[in-house]
Amino acid sequence: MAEVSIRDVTKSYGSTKVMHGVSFDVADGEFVALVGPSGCGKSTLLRMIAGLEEITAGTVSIAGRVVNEVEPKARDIAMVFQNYALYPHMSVRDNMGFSLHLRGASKAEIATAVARAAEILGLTPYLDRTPKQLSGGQRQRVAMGRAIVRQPAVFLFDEPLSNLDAALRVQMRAEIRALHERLGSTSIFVTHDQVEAMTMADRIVVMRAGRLEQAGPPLELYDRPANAFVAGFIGSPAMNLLAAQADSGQVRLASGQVLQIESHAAGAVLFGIRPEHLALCSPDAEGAIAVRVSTVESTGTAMFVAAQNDGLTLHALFTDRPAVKRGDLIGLRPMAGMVHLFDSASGLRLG
Amino acid sequence: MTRRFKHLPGQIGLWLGVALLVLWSVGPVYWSFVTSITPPNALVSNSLHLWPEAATWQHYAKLFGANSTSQGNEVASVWPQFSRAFANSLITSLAATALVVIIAAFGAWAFVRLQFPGRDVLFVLVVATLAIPAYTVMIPLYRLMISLGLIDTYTGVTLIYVSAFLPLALWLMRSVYQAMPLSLEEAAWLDGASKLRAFVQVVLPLAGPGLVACGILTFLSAWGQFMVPLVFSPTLATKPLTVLIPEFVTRNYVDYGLMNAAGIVAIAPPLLLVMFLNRYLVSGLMAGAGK
Repeated sequence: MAEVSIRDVTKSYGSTKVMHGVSFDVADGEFVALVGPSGCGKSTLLRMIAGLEEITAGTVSIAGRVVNEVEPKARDIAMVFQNYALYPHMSVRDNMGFSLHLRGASKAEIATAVARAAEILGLTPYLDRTPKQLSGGQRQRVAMGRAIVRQPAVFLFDEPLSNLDAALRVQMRAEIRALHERLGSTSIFVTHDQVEAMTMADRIVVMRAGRLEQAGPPLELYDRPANAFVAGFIGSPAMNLLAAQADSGQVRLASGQVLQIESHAAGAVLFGIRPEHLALCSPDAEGAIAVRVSTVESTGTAMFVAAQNDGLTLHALFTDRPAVKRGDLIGLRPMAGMVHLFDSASGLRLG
Repeated sequence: MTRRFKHLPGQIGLWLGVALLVLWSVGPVYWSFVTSITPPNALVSNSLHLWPEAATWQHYAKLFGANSTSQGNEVASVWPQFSRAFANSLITSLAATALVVIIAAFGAWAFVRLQFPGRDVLFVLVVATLAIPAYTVMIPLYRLMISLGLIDTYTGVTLIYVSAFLPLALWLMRSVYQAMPLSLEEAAWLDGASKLRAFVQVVLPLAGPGLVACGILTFLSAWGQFMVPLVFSPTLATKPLTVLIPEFVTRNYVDYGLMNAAGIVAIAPPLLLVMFLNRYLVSGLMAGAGK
């Protein structure tokens, strides 16, 4: 068990700088998700923690020790790869026991540790199979088993669920989280799926283009995104972000609509409102944005409505199945206190 | 017309093609075998026989016998020469194969996984040597081998084979390693393996089919070499079968039967090797590594 500390880490390939000084800490036993769109540097950062990628500048410390120059094998970490990277020529038993074997553990020790890990992961009946005789979900479990067998200080997960089908992904999500609770280990989990990050992590680190955008508990990121990028990235369906002009307690949308706000911001802003924070009302009601419905999608639990007005598009989410259909003129009123304002130039949160 | 006969012309064409190929590759071997069991007088008869009217093992007896007759006269047995050349062929081919496979296994990995300046240029240079015709280097190589005192030595012949067949093996192994996911090695490093250990315990077992292919290719090429030993193996100290067998031609008699019997025997080692190694040439060894 150990804490991980990332300090001003940068990464360059030749003259191209791809990571611009990222800093954050992972407490002992914490489950942190690194999330961001593809190419944001989250996997690179994870690989730098693992020692598979050189650190151009800055430091990575594990359990208080700077590990920049430490070989991967000496960092006391285990990693679950996106493609699992199981050794195809070894049985499940040997795959899981390989790390202990390399450390010179006795046969009895290896057998005990492998048996315990297999028990936890439900792999006991498959120990003598080779990876190719397993299903995707079972391979995923073997990859996890290989990681937990030697009880490393830190677990690293590199998009481990992205190759599974939707149902299995939801199941493994819960299993990984339960495993984390059980082992109490420090875990860093890379994903591009914000739902995975929201559901699994104690804390989320959002990255974009080699920069850290915001780090915090899932609901804090959801309720108070630090900038327009995080606002749009966290939450599904995504937050509505409308260009607007703010002045003395009110904003004027591109459509000409004027709304009252609880802010004294002035100038060009982004007016953000989550789809579930839009209330359905009549088009001419006080504080409503009048829009015409273009699509209605229903999943049973929720209804997604997309509506337009003069080049402005709003997405709304209702759980009470209102009688709305394509072509209807409706009013959508932002709920009080649920509006987010961001500076339109810097994208930073206002207020 | 039913479905079954719809593709009949294509089927016929396919079988015709296969038959032609089989005839092309097996025909000479068959003819060599038939010649090796045909009595000498029948070999010069006017009528062509696909199978001898009176099959005989006399050529084989001559090859393996302690004493031998030729055209009715008692002559020296060819067995001492033949067995010596057979051993020479085996030694040089096996030595070259072992060296090429070992060097290619490690060298190609270095060309794929290690970062060093000029890596790709170096690799292209090595592979480019494949395009140089052997004849152009023959004379300089001969002078070099003389000055090194390596003419008519196993070391000399083996070295030439290695330099000739290594580039192809390197090329082959490089693509084998390139097709292998790096994450397998990374997983081994994180499991606590050194780079060498990860290579030996994870990469090499998976590269097995590639190494077997390299081994077969090298052995067959070395076993069939004629020109190099013709120049560099002047005496029976290292002379292989390929050079010895044509010498069964004497001034006034060409012993076709003996030559073909020796040829048939010479086919055995490569045939056995391929049959034995073939089972390791299976594909799909990588299945199960990933998703």
